[in-house]
Amino acid sequence: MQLEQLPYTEEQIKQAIEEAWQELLQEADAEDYSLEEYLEHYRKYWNDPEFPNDIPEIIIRAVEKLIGKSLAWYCELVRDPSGFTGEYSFIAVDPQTRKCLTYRQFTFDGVNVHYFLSVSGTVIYYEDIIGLVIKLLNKIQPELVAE
Amino acid sequence: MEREKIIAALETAFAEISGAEYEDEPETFAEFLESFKKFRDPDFPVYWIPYTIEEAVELLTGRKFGWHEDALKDEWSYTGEFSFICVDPETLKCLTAERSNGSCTVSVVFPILSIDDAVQAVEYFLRLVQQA
Repeated sequence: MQLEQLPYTEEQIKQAIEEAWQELLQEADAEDYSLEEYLEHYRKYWNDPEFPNDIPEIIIRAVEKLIGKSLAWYCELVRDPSGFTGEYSFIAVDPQTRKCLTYRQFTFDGVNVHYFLSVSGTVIYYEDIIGLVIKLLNKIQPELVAE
Repeated sequence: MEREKIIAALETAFAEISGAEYEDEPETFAEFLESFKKFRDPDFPVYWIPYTIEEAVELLTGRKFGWHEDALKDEWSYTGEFSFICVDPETLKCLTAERSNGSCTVSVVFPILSIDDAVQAVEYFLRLVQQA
């Protein structure tokens, strides 16, 4: 998960995720239940269009808490013909500089350059949320430092 | 830029993307959009539409950009709207990001159901590139 390159411990990341979850519960005026319980429900009903999807909101809030800055986001729930795949794509932009913080470029064949704007990951379990937060921080943190 | 030049770029881009350049009686982008508008078939290669817009912008500017696109859907089918995010790879600036009333949006959304809609979308991106 490449946590060692980040100025955060796994505990701090879990704490930020928990705080984000608690905020969402409060805002929805919902009864107190754990993120683990929510994820059990989520695993059963994620493909139901009526199911509220709080996963990207938790991830975005956790990342912003850790970096101490609000960003502009675009999040896509990745779908194939049978429905939602469980994968999320995130694009983060610094609202002050308009710099795309999740941008990457690759040259697979040594000739053609391919540009990717998003960081993606599948979320099924709690560990996947931690993993995706770390993946986003690994991309966003150095870009913010470089600004 | 003249409308004819934009339409020509759209048709060239569509021929490349759809593989129509290898067909004897190729479907034009305008015809493709017409049948999308009529049928909204869920199996339709709907992403050819945003890819064609993006390729046309790159053909007309002579530059490559980083793109992210999404075909918007309601409960039943595609709505005919597409969201686009465009990043300049030289500056990493998100050209589609816009600040208003203290918040910042990253994408722009266009309905693209006709060749006129497609021309307007291309014109919008050309303006963005020019301003950047």
